[in-house]
Amino acid sequence: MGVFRGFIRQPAALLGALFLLLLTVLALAAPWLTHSSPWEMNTQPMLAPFQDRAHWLGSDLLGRDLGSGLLYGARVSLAVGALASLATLLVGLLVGALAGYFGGWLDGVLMRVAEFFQIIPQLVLAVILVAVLEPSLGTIVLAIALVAWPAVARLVRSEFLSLRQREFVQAAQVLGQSPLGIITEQILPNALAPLLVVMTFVMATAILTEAALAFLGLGDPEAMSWGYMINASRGLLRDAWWMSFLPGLAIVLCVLAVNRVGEGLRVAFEPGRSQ
Amino acid sequence: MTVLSVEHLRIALPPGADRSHALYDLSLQLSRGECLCVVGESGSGKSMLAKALLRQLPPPLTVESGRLVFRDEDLATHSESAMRQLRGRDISMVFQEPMSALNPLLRVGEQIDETLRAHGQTSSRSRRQRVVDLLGYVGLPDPERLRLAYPFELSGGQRQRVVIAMALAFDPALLIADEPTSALDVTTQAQILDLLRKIQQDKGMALLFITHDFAVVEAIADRVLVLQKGHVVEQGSAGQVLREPQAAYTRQLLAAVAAQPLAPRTAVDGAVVLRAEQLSKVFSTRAGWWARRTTRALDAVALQLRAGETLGIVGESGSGKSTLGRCLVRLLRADSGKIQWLGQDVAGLPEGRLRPLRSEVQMIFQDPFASLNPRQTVGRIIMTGLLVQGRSRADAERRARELLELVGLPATAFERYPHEFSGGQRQRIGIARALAVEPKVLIADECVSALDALIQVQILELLESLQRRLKLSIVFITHDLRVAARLCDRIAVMQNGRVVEQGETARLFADARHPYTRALLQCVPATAALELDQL
Repeated sequence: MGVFRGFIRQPAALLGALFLLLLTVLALAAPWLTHSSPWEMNTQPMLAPFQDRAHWLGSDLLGRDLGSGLLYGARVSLAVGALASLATLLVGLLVGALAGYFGGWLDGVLMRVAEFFQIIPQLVLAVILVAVLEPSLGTIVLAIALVAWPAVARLVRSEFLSLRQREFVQAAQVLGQSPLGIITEQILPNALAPLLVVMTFVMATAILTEAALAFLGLGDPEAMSWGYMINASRGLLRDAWWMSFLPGLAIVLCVLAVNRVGEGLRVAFEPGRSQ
Repeated sequence: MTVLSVEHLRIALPPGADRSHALYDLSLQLSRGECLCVVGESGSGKSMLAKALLRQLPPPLTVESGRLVFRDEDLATHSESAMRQLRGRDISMVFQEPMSALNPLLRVGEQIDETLRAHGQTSSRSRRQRVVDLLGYVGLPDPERLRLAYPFELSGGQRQRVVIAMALAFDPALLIADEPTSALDVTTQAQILDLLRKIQQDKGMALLFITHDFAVVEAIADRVLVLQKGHVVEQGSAGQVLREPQAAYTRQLLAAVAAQPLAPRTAVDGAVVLRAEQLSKVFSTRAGWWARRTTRALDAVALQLRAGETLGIVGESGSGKSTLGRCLVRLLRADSGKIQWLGQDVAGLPEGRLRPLRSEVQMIFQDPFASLNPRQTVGRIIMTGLLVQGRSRADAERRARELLELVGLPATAFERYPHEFSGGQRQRIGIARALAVEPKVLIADECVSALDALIQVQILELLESLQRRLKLSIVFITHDLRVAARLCDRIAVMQNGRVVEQGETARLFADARHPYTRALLQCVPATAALELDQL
């Protein structure tokens, strides 16, 4: 409870969390909030914001409603962010726990594999993976998880290495608890705080990476996304700035909110603060 | 001549603390060439006295009332910059932990030089000469070379000598030493105490010595002041306080450090429950490309433990006693040698096959804070071993509640978390956790060394009564011969990974054969050793 109180005491973190909550609700309710699919060309092209009551955020080059695009884009961004961080967590936790708990040659092998992924620039690797695997929501999540897991694995490993030496973990070993029991009951609950914080930053990176992939034309062709919207309107930056600005603003706010939540969690988990 | 006089000092604690004041009405006088020991348990307020003198009380604490008079000047009238002039020049301080008192990134010579420079010594030649003189004066070998060493290159005792040299830079009128020997081994501790005593007589300093340990008091004090929860319970000459203590609390404290058995030990000739033969363990670290630095932590150690017996393993840090304990419970795998639990060889057994046997041999750990999982309730902690053995939840819970009662904890402890308990209570939880699986052998690794003297006795008494009731055999690992003498039938003395001497406790105290055992015995205070002679 101390952590929760420490979190809500920070205005920036609380605002970030509320914004994400609102965005999630809007994204889920998108089909009921809009009259049309985001792909439907239902008004005059390049309509500026606040000109038409039916399309108050304006329209793009082909007369598609920008407001509808933004809402459906939030679905993609949040879904990719959540799924990719979940996938990253799964791989990172497994690899980090094995390496940190058992150590020795297993640790050596797993960490060399992690380094292999880390030495390639993340976006380049993600672009290559998506290009090779055909762009779709699944492959984008996969690509993001594949480039993001080594950082999480390294964090989990270092937490496990230090907790492994703690006396309560050794006591559990002396009591005859199995490695799986020790990992899940003794070590993991104590490693949760830093892990949770890092996961929010992984999520922010995932949202950015998805936007970057879509901007490069490697987004899911079935789904309207913020990155795609910027890409589609980048040629008209001078004539219709709002067409790139609005999805750009959405990305900035969303990533900022996730980051503030992560920072808020970090402060709230800090020892001494929570008591 | 009175150097320091404290009159009716009161330091208020913030609301919500366990008592209203850190110190209630403390008065003391300290003359030139005199050593006053302030003795108290943790939380008695003894360190607050030192901090108040240096005007370094941690906020929000402040001196509520009372006067601090140093050389006829009221310290309250000094400005902050005047205090800064005083600190390190006229009043110096030696801290408990030399490693954290020194800057790890600076050579020790530079650190002393810094103090000299801060107080206006401008000539670098004379400063350098002074540094070398000081290092030589505190008994460090080859000061010209040692001046250039970094703190991590020195041993604990050498580091404390450097800290003392730094404190002596300007021949202070008052030296405050806050537990300066508590982090050191007993033989090193004796050397540092000798040094402080010599310096004090040499320079005629006033020495305010803060400690929890009556062994130290005996070695150094002229006068003694006993503090209990912020109240002065007794003040008098060392001889009087140690031989004829007036206050009941002082008598309790003195009884707590006596090296006499808690209860008469009955002769044991049960079956051997734990046996080690030719146990060896080498730690090696890489030093450079091809070279490896090896440390022989255990060197052909042999010992056996009979049912109902307590075997003490005594040695200084680095003697291999903790490695031995860890090898005996198989937290570490020995390089060679045999270990038998109840007659069964376990030294080479893989972890998976060892697990079912684990309940026979349990361990009690040193650190009452690190040894309990902060995210589990006390009940859950005690139930861990039982659940692992496949007992049902209801059964495990019933047994855990029985254990809480057995180790003297309230039943309400079951739902609470470890951080709500004191060090002694936590150690009881650790004992309950170990006993839950009904072990035959307990290995206790320095299990009381983190506790206050009175709490130590309580835990030792608990172990003793549990041993009698449950027919436990105990391997009791400690650095403190006095503590070992209270509980152990036999004692094995370790040095550099070898057992150098082993024998009945009384025999060992009366007639130690190995020079190292004798050196250790010399560090046991005379009052305590005396009582053992009478056995």
